Amino acid sequence: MNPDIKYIDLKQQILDRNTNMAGELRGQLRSKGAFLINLMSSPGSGKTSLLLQTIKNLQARVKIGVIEGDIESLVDSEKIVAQGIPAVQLRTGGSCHLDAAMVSTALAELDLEKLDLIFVENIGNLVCPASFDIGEEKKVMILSVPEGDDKILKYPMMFSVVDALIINKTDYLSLSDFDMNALRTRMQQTNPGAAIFEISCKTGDGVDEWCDWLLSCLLTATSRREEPCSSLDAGD
Amino acid sequence: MQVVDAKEGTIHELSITKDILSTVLTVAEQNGAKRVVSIALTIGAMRDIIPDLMQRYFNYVSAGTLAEGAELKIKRIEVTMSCEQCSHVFGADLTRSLEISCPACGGARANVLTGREFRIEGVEVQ
Repeated sequence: MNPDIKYIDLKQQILDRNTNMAGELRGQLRSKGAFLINLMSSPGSGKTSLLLQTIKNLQARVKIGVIEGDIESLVDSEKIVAQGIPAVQLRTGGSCHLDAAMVSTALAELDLEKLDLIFVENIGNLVCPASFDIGEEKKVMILSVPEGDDKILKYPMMFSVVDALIINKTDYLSLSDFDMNALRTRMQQTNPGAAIFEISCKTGDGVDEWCDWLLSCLLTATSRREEPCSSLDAGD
Repeated sequence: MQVVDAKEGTIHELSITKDILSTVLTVAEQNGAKRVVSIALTIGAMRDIIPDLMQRYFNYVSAGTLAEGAELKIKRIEVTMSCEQCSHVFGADLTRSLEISCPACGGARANVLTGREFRIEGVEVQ
């Protein structure tokens, strides 16, 4: 080896800066009592429909805000605003994922003191968003029935990092060979801690269970905040 | 409704490469290096990264910096799972087999142990 060459040991995580900024965002959001959900899926799996159903179900009990990540169009956020929910549209151009810096810019447009639950609708993509922490408390993924039960074989990273998996468009089950048991078995084999919800945003089936899970997450976060000894970083 | 433009975003190999470059340049400058020779990375098999593409992006973003011409030495780490029942550690190709069970006890619940690594191990500078 060339004696002029020196090896410097780093052992540093890639995307450290993003992860650190996300950690700071999480701290800020916790101090204001706002709970962030990072909602990820392929394009067309029903992220906006799920949000509309969730808003309908929880609006009377929980103050909700939405950040929409979209390459160019505003159609999704217009539907949310029509429900009386504050929404910020992040126009991301050609980007394939949201990062903590983008979410931070969008959060500055919302009155966090007045919100309990903020959904970030990530860009429709099952690869890149899995690697970027955006300051969320929970990562939630939607898989729709027409996409097939074998999506978990194509995007194992995403399925292995989520806290909850929503299987949407269950109204299509009778028309397809989607194997729910195979998918559930597979989730147990790679991410047994994830909650799984079977939902049809069209009929409303299963939406209550998902909303109950969200409420229980909020309740846990609130009781943790009120515990005098608990550290803000607990649970990371 | 508020609309915020955030169009500085990029596809993920490029964001990741820029992140690595920025870390490496800071370290090289702190060490008074004249150039960066190579960068050792550990990237788990579950990270959807194409090494050749990363090197090409790196060449592009590092042009004109101390790290121009540096080689990315990427070590991939295979996926291993840990059985919830008996703690046995076993390898698995999560993209192929539909049925994974613990080879020791047949248990059906397992957690990913390795395969998600995403680290800069170190840099060689001159």
